[in-house]
Amino acid sequence: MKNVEAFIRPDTIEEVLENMALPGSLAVAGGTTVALSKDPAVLRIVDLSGVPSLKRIETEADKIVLGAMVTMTDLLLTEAPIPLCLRQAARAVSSTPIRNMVTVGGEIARGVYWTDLPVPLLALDATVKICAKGSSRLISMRDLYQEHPSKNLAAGEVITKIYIPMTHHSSAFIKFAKTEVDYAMLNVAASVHLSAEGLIEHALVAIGAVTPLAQRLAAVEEALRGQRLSEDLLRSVGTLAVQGLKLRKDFRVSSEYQSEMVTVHVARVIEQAVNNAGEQK
Amino acid sequence: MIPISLVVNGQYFDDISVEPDQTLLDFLREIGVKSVKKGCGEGDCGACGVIMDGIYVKSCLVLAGQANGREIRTVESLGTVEEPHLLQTAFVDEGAVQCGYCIPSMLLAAERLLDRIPDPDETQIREALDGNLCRCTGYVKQVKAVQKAAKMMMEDHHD
Ligand SMILES: Cc1cc2nc3c(=O)[nH]c(=O)nc-3n(C[C@H](O)[C@H](O)[C@H](O)COP(=O)(O)OP(=O)(O)OC[C@H]3O[C@@H](n4cnc5c(N)ncnc54)[C@H](O)[C@@H]3O)c2cc1C
Ligand code: FES
Ligand code: FES
Repeated sequence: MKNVEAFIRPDTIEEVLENMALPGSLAVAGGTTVALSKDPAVLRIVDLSGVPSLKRIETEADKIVLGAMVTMTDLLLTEAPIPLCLRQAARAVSSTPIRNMVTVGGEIARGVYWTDLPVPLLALDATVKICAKGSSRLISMRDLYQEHPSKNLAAGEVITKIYIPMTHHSSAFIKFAKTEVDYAMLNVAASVHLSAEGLIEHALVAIGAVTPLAQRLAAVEEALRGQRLSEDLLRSVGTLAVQGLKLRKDFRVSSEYQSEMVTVHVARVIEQAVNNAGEQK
Repeated sequence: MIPISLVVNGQYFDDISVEPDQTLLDFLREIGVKSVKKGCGEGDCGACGVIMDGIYVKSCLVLAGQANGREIRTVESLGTVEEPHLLQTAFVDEGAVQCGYCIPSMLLAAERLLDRIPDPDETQIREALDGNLCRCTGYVKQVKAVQKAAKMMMEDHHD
């Protein structure tokens, strides 16, 4: 950050995008990674914290809309009916002062393998709104995370909103780490929609930390469709989850251990998501 | 150099030049606010805690340039030796302070909690103090001290 010539904190999104269009601009949200960055190419820091609309959580009939600057603490304290897995993931991010700073947009844009929030956002089939000067587009979390999100965000583009459909909302999130404030060795989320008869009509499952980037588990989702929760089902989808999963090397654990973690936690999170039905909207 | 203006513990600093990569932590120590400590410089220890525009944050993760136009409070704003804040009194009474390195941040985190929840339970206190590492006390007495301060502050309020 040695070469930064200006810090700007606009109060409108138009002004943010105007400034982000200039070469050498970097957006700062919670600042928790930006402050430690040594990037000499950054000439201008555009602080997103002055734009009120980016901090809002709005409830619409069929969706929740999160501004990109909503913090982990905001997710924990809001009275809006946000899905349980999102609250659980927000709570899993480090400690209170870090949660006071880290934003939803920052979590999505940063997307390290262990980052917690992208996992529930994938399992909730969230859509991200990305704006640049004179343009805007919508992209699903799944598409945004086909490769590292930084590759999908062009220079000058800013994440402004996250849309979470409220269609299948019995959900759960689990982070597995050595201590409460450590980075995840595995994080996993599931959201399910149950029929009146208690069958799993539709399930979305996402995993992170054991893979280079958080991703959905399509084969598991397919295997759950139309099924009733049972020990056999959980055992088989746990095993299925490992097959075809490209595990990343982790200096903390062996790949055998990783595989075992996946089997156990995928089953567990699905069970919890189903059992959470009724406790949440 | 980047010009910034901000309020620190009620004192206005106008048009001060900071390095573009200087953190708020280093800036505060440079202007003589020595209660904020650089334990790790990367967001782990919590010794650098400050209240920025009412929110408890780690000042090693804020660039000084980002603090332009903001209001910063450190433990110096809580109380003095002659007139300590009730939280400070409770920390001393409960024996919650040993070397003291972590205490300024603990006090600020606790102050924010009690501002939001005057009568917190133990879980809420532990969650609020989380992120502030203490190598001396084992945290038990600090939790007790916050409970005691909460009680004293509520009694104070009713008087
Ligand atoms: C000690 C510590 C522990 C942590 N532990 C965890 C943990 O356990 N789990 C976890 O999930 N996270 C954790 N984090 C947070 C994580 O590492 C990142 O720091 C965080 O996700 C970044 O969010 P931010 O809002 O601070 O973004 P910033 O640091 O402000 O930005 C990060 C990057 O994203 C870009 N960016 C930010 N917002 C936008 C936007 N709206 N549009 C486009 N680009 C944007 C910035 O330009 C920058 O490149 C931890 C952080 C620290 C310091
Ligand atoms: S100096 Fe350790 S958290 Fe800031
Ligand atoms: S009292 Fe020594 S570190 Fe907390």
